[in-house]
Amino acid sequence: MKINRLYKKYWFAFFIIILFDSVYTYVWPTGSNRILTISCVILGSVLCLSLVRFYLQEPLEEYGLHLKSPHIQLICILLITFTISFLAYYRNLTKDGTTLVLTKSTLKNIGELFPVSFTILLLASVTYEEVLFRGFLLTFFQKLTDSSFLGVFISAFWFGLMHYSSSGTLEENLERLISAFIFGIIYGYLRVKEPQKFTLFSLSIGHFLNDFIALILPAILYA
Amino acid sequence: MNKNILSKKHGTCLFIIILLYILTVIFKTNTIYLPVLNIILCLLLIHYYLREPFFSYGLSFKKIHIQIICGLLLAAIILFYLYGNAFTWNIYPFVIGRFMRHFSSYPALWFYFFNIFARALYEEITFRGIFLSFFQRIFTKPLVSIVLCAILSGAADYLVGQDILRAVLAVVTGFIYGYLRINEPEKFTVFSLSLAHFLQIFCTDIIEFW
Repeated sequence: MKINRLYKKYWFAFFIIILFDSVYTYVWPTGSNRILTISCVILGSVLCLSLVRFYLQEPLEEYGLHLKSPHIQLICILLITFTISFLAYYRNLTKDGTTLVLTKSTLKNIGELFPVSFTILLLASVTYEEVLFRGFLLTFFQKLTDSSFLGVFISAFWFGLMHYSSSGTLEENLERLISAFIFGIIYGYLRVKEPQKFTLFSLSIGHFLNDFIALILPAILYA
Repeated sequence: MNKNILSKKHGTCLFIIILLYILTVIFKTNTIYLPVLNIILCLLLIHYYLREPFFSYGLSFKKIHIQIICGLLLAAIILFYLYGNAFTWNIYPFVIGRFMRHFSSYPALWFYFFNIFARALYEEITFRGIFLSFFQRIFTKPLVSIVLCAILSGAADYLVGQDILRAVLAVVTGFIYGYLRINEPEKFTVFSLSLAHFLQIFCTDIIEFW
């Protein structure tokens, strides 16, 4: 259903979600307390889904959330994650003398670097990002502009902007922005083109694995 | 004729193309003639022997500007993932400028561009053009055709380079190209995929040159 521009409900839901996200990102001191951050991102995901289901009264399937054929979803997302990760780390793998060997000390090192609470935080954060960008915002812009391309593009651009931080050099930030933008384009495209295989469930798993590999690979390579 | 069944003609065609590919690999020739001859032969086989339209093999020049944009975007995405961290951002214009100055000093090296484009086009016509279309007629599920085609292109790459990682890269990129060729046939034709493939080879060469 295309949004009627006068239909205030959608804009109100959009406004609430953006307000929550802005408060969570820029105002709330989230970095200091891990449990508080986990609670915030879970609250954000629940808020998005509740607004869609109970306020807008639309089926969650339309926003990319369903659990039909989860095994197919898992296989597809593993395939895509492998593809992206292989391309991203191809140069690391071809460096002379670099071999991926998992020793006991490496595993211990990984365990020390990434405790359970951090893993839960990562999982909750990526779920929130997927629900927000590939779930609500993508569908919202898709309906608003009546174009899948624009929906994917705007949500991916927004996703990229969210990864632009105030710290770090301009080059680092630009690289992060472009990287997140491309990631958003790929995930958005898959969500729109293959809604049965790439749902918010599978995309969250893929996003988690992608981030986890990005964090874990240096620990393995340079252990 | 039932389009889902491959006739003897298709079998013969497949045999000729595989034979040609193996000959190309055995001779390990870097000359431009063999890929160009192979491309012409593939086109002749489709048009005069199989008597089928080129567009059913992904060869079409409709909306060429869209195809070029899509090819460039695909190349940019793949290259960003492959070489995004190879240099710092500000050094790229310098490297490309130096590379181009090298080329302008040796005009004969412009053949290099034509050579790699011919190689890319030949591989795309063979794998994403003929093989993928044949597999699509045999298997009902497109994913099977895409994966088979990607594995074949990886195996072919392994025969040429004897490098397992490069072969896996060929499988991965082959999977992406095949997926897009089937799901976006208007935007990702053999031409636009060849453009992306060409840029991938060219940028890899630039980085190795540097």
